Amino acid sequence: MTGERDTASAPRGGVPKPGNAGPVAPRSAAPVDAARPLPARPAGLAAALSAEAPVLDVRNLAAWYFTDEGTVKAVDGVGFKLGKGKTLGLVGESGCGKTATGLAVLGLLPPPGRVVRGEAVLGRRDLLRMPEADLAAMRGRDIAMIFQEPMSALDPLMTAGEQIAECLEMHTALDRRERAEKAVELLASVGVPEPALRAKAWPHELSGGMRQRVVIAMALACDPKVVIADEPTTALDVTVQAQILDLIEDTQERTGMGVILVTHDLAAVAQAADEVAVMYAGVLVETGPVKDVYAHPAHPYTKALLGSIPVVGQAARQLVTIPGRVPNLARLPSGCRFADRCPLAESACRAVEPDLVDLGAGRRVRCILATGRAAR
Amino acid sequence: MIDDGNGFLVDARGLEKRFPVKAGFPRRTVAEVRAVDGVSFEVRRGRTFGLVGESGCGKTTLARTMVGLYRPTAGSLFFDTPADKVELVLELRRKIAEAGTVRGPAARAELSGLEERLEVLRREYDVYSLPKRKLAARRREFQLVFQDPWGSLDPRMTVGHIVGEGLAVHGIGGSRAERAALVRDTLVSCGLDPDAIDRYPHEFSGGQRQRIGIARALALRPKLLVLDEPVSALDVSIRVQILDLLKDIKEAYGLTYVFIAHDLAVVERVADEVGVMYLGKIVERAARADLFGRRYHPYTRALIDAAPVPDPNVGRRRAPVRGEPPSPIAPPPGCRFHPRCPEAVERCRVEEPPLAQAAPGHYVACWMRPPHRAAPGADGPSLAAAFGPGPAVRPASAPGRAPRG
Repeated sequence: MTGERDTASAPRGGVPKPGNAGPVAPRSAAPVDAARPLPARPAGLAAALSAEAPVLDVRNLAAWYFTDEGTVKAVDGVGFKLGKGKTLGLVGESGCGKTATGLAVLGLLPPPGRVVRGEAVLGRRDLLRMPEADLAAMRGRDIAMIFQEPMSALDPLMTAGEQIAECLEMHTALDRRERAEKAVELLASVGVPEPALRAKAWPHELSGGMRQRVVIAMALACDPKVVIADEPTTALDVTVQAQILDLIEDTQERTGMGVILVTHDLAAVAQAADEVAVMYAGVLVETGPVKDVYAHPAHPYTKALLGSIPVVGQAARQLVTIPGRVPNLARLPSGCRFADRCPLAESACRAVEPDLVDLGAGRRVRCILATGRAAR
Repeated sequence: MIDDGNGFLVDARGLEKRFPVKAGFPRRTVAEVRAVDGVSFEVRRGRTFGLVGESGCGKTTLARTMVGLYRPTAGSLFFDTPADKVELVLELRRKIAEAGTVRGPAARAELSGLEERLEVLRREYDVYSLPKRKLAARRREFQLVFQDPWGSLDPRMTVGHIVGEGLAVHGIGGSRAERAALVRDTLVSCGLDPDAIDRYPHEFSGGQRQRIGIARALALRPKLLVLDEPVSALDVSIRVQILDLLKDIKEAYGLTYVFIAHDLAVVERVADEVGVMYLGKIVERAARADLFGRRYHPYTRALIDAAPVPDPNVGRRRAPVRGEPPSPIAPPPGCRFHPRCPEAVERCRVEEPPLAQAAPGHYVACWMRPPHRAAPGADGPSLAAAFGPGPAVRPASAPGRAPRG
């Protein structure tokens, strides 16, 4: 019996685990206890603060795959700011470059992929221009990743507790016994029942939801400032999905970490994110506060995507059909990348690729028709 | 279920499929997975029966059992059986049940006579009792569409070979050229270029591969398509395309569907009748509007409540149920949902509730629902306390998570 796994967007090939590559970088403070209280922030002020001091600032990032068939521009100039304690939903369909964006920021892009330009500034340091040893020390400690497929993200030859302890060994000065205790504590904090018992369990002995909790515990082990969660709920059943989103949000409220939620699921973004960035064929086509974008999508692609999701209780609503398919990233059309599938496309759309234009109120859109309307 | 004159295409009775769990040396059976554990339902001609449930509930096993890929441990499946014969079978079953309660040699003789008559009918009409040759011939009438458009197509075969293989097996279309014409026709019906016939699966995108999988099933001109999560592996923009295609070919070819999915929103769109599965059993079954309107079973309610809504103004409620489905190797005693159920009482822990009629055509297996108890309102007190109001009346201020931002 097969479950409903999203094999379509599962990462292909071996993707390294977060936080266990590279030398030891001791850290004195016990990380999880250091919960930072968050001041109450009015919405406007919070927006202003996060605009001033983003915890992660990605600028003009391009990551290409140099294959025999040509250069696949998986990420082709992506920029966003992630505020402290905020969640950015990075959404798009399979092959749009959302996972590659996350991997590139962490320096984990598998060959033949390579970052060709851009910056990813975390705490005044550019992750993309850092010696591998420094980056390895930061991975897991300052920035961590939650992978989509919890079974392949876990080492089948290590118990759940050992895998978490390994992260701690890498980044803290705790001794073996303290690490084992901490691992149990972390498992308890991510809602694993009987954590002392489960710490001794092998990955195959755990259910899908439990494995995902272990992966999250590993990512949170060193209290990172930023967590990139790649489809953290896609492989899980709906009743468990809600539990995992709750868990990520609770942790965020406790520690103030910034979260990049990489997903194809617009409903998960609606429920868990503050800001949304919609990707299409390697570029951002629309970004802004989730509520505004969902209420008034500016880009025809965003509008179509939102209209294409069936919702329980709305069976009478006609679903939007997006004809055709995403363009080949090795042979991109000239002009707007969505023009071939866009019901509104004009000849001007196919002439020049539109820029990501600021619409004000924190919103940006890459569509000459939308920006033209705004100007008029 | 009330017959609407078209009759039933599928009449599944007490289907069971168990898998042995082997361990040790020498290997021996140490336990059994009860993947499908006594499932009965009917599908009317030209309709869609939707089957929903979480991973591990047995819905894929049921799909494979229905099309004969698995031999069931028990149960019968009457497929495309004349209405009078189905009635005869039902009558015989009722009489057998009645005769079973009477003692004495006369009753025993009557019982064995009835059982013999039933057996004759089964060998004629029950798919699982058919002699091998008859079964092989009938297989073209019920076809399965697989979930995974990557894993279900042989990468070494051309599309023409994949779609035409069944035609050759069943000896449909006299010559190779005739079969190729049939394959091209089918490809066009499925929205593919007829020239795709000479290409290989890797040259196609996920959505197109799923079209190929549908064409393979459709080429045999079946009466029933069993669709196992036909859109869940696809991108959202492609899902609607495939749902549209399924709707079109259903009309064009007069098909009947069993549509299996974990996504309730999709099932609500396509199904006329819906069954909710949990740990190998159907816990609720009704016409679509009744099922989504009444949501009698607490599990159905939990599934609907957990269904994500792409609207940031709708506050996410806290996870509506705790924990995860238990193992089908050792299902809990009593009601299988009781360890996760917010309404469970002592009776639920010890006695398994039968699937009973709670309203006309609406069947529920729950001690806390009709016919055992009065029906709670759509947001009756016990449920409101347990889950919060349902989605139809879900205000932004619903208990649980406040909207973000």
